[in-house]
Amino acid sequence: MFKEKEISTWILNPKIKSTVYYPDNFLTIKELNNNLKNFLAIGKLRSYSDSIYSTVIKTTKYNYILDYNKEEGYIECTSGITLKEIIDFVIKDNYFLLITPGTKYITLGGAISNDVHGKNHHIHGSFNESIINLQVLLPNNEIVTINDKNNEIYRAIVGGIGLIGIILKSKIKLLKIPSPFILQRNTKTHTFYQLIDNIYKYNNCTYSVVWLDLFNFNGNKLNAILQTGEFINQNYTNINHILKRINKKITIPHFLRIENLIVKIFNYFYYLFTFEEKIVDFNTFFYPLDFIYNWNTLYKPTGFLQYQLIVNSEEALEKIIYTIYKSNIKPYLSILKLHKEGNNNFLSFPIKGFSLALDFKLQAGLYDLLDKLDNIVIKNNGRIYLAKDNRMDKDKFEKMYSKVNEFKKIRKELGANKKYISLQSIRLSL
Amino acid sequence: MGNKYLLIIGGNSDIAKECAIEFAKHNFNLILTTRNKNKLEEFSKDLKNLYDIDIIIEELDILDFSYHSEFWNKVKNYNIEVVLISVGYLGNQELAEQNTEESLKIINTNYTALVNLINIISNDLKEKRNKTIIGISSVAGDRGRKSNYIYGSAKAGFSCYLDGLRHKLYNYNIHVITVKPGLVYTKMTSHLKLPKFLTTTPNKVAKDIYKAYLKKINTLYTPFFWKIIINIIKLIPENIFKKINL
Repeated sequence: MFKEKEISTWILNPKIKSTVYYPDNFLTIKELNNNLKNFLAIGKLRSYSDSIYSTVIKTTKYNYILDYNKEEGYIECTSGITLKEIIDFVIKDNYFLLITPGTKYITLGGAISNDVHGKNHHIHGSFNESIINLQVLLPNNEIVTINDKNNEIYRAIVGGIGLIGIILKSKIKLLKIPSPFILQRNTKTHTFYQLIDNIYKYNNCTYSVVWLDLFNFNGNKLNAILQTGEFINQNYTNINHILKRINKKITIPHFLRIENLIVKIFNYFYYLFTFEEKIVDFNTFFYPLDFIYNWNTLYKPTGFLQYQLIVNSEEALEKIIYTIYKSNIKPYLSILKLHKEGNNNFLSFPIKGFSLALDFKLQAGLYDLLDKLDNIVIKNNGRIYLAKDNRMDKDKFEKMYSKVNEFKKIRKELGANKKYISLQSIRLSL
Repeated sequence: MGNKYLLIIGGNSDIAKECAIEFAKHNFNLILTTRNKNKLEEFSKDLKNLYDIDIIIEELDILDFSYHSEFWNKVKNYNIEVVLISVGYLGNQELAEQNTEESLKIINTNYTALVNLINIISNDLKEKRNKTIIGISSVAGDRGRKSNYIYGSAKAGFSCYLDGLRHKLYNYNIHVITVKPGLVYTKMTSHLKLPKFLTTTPNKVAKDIYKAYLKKINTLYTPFFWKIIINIIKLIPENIFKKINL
């Protein structure tokens, strides 16, 4: 089953006419893998990159729970299942994902291919840590199951943005929680150093992330809210009621636009009316943006991009914040996070240091600013997150990701360079 | 886990899968038939996990007439409450006009093979009483059109067969439902450009089928407005109909 369709990732740019296949079992995927050349396996298209192509296998109908072990706390699913489907299934037994990014509308395959991370990276690491094993379909149509994290194919495929093989199934560890509720503590800070000190002070909290008001930053006073959280034991009556309530979504009418003034006012009041402590459900804590079904269209007609960098020191971070301030281009949303050291995978993003995710409306001068930021990042042994990149060139990429040659080598050995392709892989000469 | 079973002939179709989910939600265990067991393996594991039901997958090629009764002997001892026949092959009309193999494949898959199998099933089932047989036919069988009249005629035969079966089995308290889906987004239609406002999803069809099962409806058009569309199409005099492009 296939459709001719225009597809794009979450940032809606670029758009490409594509033949989209919707397999719903592994045999069909095998047949497609055998018959097609130059294609990409995709999930929910929720990355901010250009990881698309004119022929794609969309795995969202391949969304099955194969095995679930309540006693040992793991679940095995096929790659097209979404994190939401996993959560809805396991939360009744007080389990949650060990690692989750800021949206639950991504597939398991996407989470692995981008080696996503979340608010607990400084404690638990990236999605890589929750993987018990992987079943992968290789370019020669062989199916391999890998449970050794030092295996070369494993190191290439986790974080490998779909360019090594097609992930069929994975068994992942779950996190046992006392209840679906989280005690959230908000600490407001007013200067950069105050913020950094507080991040370190609270770095034993399981979940920790910073909302930065770079939009109202005047070069001196930097408003920020450090949000930390822990799952707590909270009484509740019926989990289905909670799920029903939190899975509600609203759709923004398409004529609404996001404007500078709105952001300015929103940020001001958000900072003002954030209270020190509150108990929230996991959805409010992890997935606030999921509530708005189509927030990515708010930036129409200009569009937007997200830029996520990571650097190894606070000095570099400070430099970056001031470079943005001087450019007069203001990010609408800025999220800062402390990370622990990264893993062994060839293209995984996190390293020890600070990551900063910035949402920009597309505007004149933006690319100049990003080029400047790229250079600071490279100088500080940092990198740009491939899941959030649709503009970087090959040279910069290779300076950021030191293991790229090992990645290319294994990609070539497997013959994956002649099979799996995306606009991103072309741009980065992968 | 409940003790009643739904038998689905043609378990790998999109409508069949959605029906499997819908009935599983309502505590039915499942027997699914398909040509290749492997294609349903992951799907059935998922349903077991989600709804805690028993699922049996049986390999069956509907065109293998001689195997039909052996197949039924294999499964007839389960407590089968509902039989759903969800077999369909649209085929290629133009090819079928030229090619015996293709036209026979269309006719046999959509009609003769089903007649043979349902004969076997219903002969046994009528002794057991209070069961339901659901056959998925098509609106294409309501009036022949140049674009798919070989498929349409087979479906017309199947619809007529189901009507007769309903008539006969009424005395045995066995209900027969003829389902006539309009346009549905499925594997069978994926290569066609379908008008959005007339097309529905397999999920909605499955929900309608479950409701029809509860209400003992005789002929179900899904989505409902296709009944109106078909009635209008039927009203067009043949002299005009043959001249228009439909």
